[in-house]
Amino acid sequence: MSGSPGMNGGPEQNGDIWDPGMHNERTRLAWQRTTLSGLACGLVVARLVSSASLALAIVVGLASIATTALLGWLTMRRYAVNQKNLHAAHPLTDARAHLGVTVLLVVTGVGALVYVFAQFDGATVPRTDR
Amino acid sequence: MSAPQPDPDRRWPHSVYGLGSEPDPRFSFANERTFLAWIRTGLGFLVSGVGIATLADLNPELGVEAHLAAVLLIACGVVSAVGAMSRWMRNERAMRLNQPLSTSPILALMAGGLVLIALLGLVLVAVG
Repeated sequence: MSGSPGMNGGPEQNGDIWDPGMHNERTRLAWQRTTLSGLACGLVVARLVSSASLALAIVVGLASIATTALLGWLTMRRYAVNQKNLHAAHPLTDARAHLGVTVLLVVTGVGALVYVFAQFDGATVPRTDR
Repeated sequence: MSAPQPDPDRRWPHSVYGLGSEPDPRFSFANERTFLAWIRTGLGFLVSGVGIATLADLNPELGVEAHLAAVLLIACGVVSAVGAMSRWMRNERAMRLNQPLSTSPILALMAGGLVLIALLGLVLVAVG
């Protein structure tokens, strides 16, 4: 690395690669950790939900695996595009993936709330007798 | 530079990329990793909430407190996700405008939520 670019300096314009890939690689690993966390969470939720509904558990498990595959592909693509852009001194990719992950988590949260309220309704009926 | 520059205005969100100048990519990557850390935190909250709700369903001794804790955990997960995106946007915008990074109420909100959940856990343990 030949010196560090300053704030708002952007990639150096002299043809040198300012970063031999470390930050991009670390970010790719962060995406992979997040993807694996999502898979683990999805499978744990599927296992937990299986005691209440096997069909729902299968749906959750399959959705987790499909989402993991999609995010894995997206991670590889983002890494490749960013690496190419860095070497060409072009701006990085945009934040559509961020939006996708955020929406996915919010939708999952809403689904989880529906599940909890459904469980709560079932649980409160006999509990009123106690 | 011989290669043509891609149009920065075509990147989403325009409210971020349409402002200021391109920041040091290392800082953008760091911002992205912070966003992902928040997402992982949100995932942890969500799975904890579903776990507690399922435990409450399996164990009838657990009362309303367990369901309330589950709802709080899931709400914290959703807030983490929305907050992650919001923080990423504000930080990226601040870096593009060469301004200091802003603080966020999300940290205090999360801390408050966790304290509430811990109190509910204490009630559950005391009742049990």
